[in-house]
Amino acid sequence: MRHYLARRLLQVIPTLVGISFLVFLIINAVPGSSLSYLIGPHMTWEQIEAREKQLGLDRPLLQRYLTWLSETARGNLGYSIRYSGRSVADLIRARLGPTLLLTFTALSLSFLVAVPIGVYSATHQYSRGDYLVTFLTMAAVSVPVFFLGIAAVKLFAFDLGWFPVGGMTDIGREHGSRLGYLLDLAHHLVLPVSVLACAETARFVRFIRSSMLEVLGQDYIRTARAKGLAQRVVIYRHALRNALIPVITILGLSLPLLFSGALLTEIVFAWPGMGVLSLEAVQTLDYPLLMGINLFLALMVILGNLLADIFYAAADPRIRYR
Amino acid sequence: MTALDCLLQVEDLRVAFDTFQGRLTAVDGISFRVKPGEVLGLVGESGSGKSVTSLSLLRLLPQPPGKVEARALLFDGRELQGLGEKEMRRIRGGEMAMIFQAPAGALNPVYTIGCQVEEVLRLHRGLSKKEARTRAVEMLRLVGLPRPERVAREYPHRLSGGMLQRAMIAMALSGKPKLIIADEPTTALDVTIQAQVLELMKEMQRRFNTAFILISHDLGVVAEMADRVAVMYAGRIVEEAETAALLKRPLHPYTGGLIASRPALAGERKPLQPIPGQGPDLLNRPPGCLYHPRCHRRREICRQESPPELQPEPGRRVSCWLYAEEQEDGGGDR
Ligand SMILES: Nc1ncnc2c1ncn2[C@@H]1O[C@H](COP(=O)(O)OP(=O)(O)O)[C@@H](O)[C@H]1O
Ligand SMILES: [Mg+2]
Repeated sequence: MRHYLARRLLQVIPTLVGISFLVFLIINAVPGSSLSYLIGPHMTWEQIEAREKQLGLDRPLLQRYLTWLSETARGNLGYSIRYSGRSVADLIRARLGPTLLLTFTALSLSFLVAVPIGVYSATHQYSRGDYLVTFLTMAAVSVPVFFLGIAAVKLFAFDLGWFPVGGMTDIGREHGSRLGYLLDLAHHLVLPVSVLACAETARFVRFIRSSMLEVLGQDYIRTARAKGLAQRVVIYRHALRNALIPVITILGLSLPLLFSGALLTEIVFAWPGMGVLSLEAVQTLDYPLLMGINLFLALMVILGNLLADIFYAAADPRIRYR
Repeated sequence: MTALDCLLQVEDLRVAFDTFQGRLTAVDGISFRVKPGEVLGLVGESGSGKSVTSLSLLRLLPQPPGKVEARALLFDGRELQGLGEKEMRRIRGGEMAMIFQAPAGALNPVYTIGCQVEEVLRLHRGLSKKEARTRAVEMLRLVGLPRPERVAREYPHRLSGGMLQRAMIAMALSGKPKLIIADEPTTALDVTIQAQVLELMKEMQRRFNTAFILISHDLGVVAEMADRVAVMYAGRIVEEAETAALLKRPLHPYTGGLIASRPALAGERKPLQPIPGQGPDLLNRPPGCLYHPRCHRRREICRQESPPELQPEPGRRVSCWLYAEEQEDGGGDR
C-alpha cells in the first residue's frame, strides 16, 4: 500500500506538467493577448509593445512556458496582469474558501440524497417510481447548470423571495453572533448548492442504481436472504456496502464536472469564489492567472482521484490485502 | 409414511416462469417427502428443475417472473404457502437452511467469515454479539477448519473453495435447522475436496440428525450420502427408490442412462456412455413421455401419452410405460 501510494504521488508531477503545457498551448492559441484590453485612446501601440516586451510576451512560446514552469517549480505562480500585479497565489487563496465550501457541500448533499433514491430505484426496477427516477435524472443531467441557476434565481429569489439573489452573506449586515452569521451563510448557500448538486445527484443516482442492480443479482445476496435476514438488512447491510465500492471511483471522477459546474454556478449567483476570478481571467486573457487557476484545478482533481483510489482500496478487502 | 412422521411433504409442486418467449414450465407437478433425519437425493441433468425446486421451498424464487403453486408444501406440520413473510424468515436459515454451489460467490466479499456466521447465530439463536463471536469460532472448529479463530477474521477471498464450503456448512448448521438443502454443494470443488466436504456433511448429518435434501447432477455424489434418491427429468420426478435398490436395478431408462454415464457406478469394465440427445424444450412441452426422443426402449405409446406414476415394488415409484403392462398383468397395487 505504501509503495503504491508513493508511486501514485510521483505520477502527479508529470501529469501536472503535461496538463499545464496543454493549457498553455490552448490559451496562447486564442487570438489577442493579455494587453489587448488596454487598447484605447490612452495607450499607443508603441506603449503596448513596450509593455509586452517588458513582460516578456514577445519571446517564443516554448521559452515562455519553460520560464513559467521553472518559476512554478520554485513556488512562484507569478503575478496577475489584470489585477495590476497582485500575486496569482494570493488571488487564488482569497477565493478558495467559498469555492470549496460550495463544491463540498454540494458533493456531500448529492451523495446523501442519491443513495436512498438509487437504492429505491434498483429495488423497484421497472416500477413507476423507477421510471420517474430515470426520467428525472435524465432531465437533471441534460439541463445546463447556468440555465438552471438563472431559472432558480428568477423563481425562488425574485418571484418568491425565499432566498437571496446572490452573494455569500448579506452585504452591510451586522451579524450579532457566530450563529447568526452561519444562518445567513446557509441561507445564501441553499440555491447555489441545490443548482450545483442537481446534476451531480442525478449522476450518482444512475451509478448507484446500476451498481445496486448488479450486486442484487449476486449469489451472496441469495445467501443473505436464505439466512432469513429482513429485506432491509439484505439491501442496506449486504448489498449497498458492495454497491458503493465502485461509486467511490465515480466520486473521484466526477470532480472535474463538479468544479466546472461550480465555476458557472458561482458566476450566476455572484458567489465570491474562483468562478468570477476565472471568468475575468479568461475574458482578459490574463495568462499567469489562467495558468495558476488551471494548475490548481488540475491538482484538486488529481488529488481527488488519488483519495478516491485510497478509499476504494480501504473499502474493498480484496484490494486491501494485495 | 403418514403425514405426522414426515418433516417435509411436497404435493404437486409447479413452477413456471413468464419469459419473453412464453411460459416456461420448470417444475411440472412433483411430489416428494422427507422424514426427519433422512437424506433425500435429488438428481437430474442440469436444467431439470432441481434448483428451482429448492428455491421455491424457501420462497426465494423471484416472483415474478416465477410463479409457484402446490397442493401442499407442509414443513414440520405447517403449510408454508400461507405463511407471512415474517414467519417465512424465521424458517429460512433457522429451521430450513441452504448450502449453495459456488462457495466463492455465495459469501459476501466485504464481511469476514466470522461476521457472516455470527449473523445467523444472533438472528436465529438470539445470542449477544459476544456470545455469537465465541460460538461462531466453535462452529468453524466443528466443521474442521484449521485455526478457526484466524479463519473467523478472514475475508472470503482469502480462503480456498473447500474451506469456504466448510464455512458455509458451519453457517447453515448455526441456526440448528431440521432440514438442510444442499444444492450442488461439491460441484465447484476439486475431486479430493469434494470427497472431504461430502464426508463432513455425512458426519454432521449423523451427529445432529439433520434431514438433508442433497441436490446434484452427479448420481455418484448423491449415492454416497442419500437414503433415498429421486430422479428428476425436465421438471418431473421420473423415479424414486431407496438408494441401494435404485443403483442395483434402475427401472427408468433415464436412471439407467445416468448410471452408465458414471465411472464409479458403471463399474470399471463397461465403457462410459453419456446419454445422447438433449432435454426437451421446456417452453413447448411435447406430448407423451418427455424422455421418449432419447429413450432406447421407447414404444409407440410413449410418443402419445404421458406415462402414469406406478409403484412396481413397495417404496418405489416410476413413471414409465415399460412397467404399466407388467403391473396390469400381475394385478399391481394401484
Ligand atoms: N429466473 C428464471 N427465469 C426463467 N427461467 C428460469 C429461471 N430460473 C430457472 N429457469 C429455468 O428453469 C429450468 C430449471 O432450472 P434449474 O432448476 O436451475 O435447473 P437445475 O436442475 O440445473 O438446477 C431451466 O430450464 C432454467 O432455464
Ligand atoms: Mg442447479
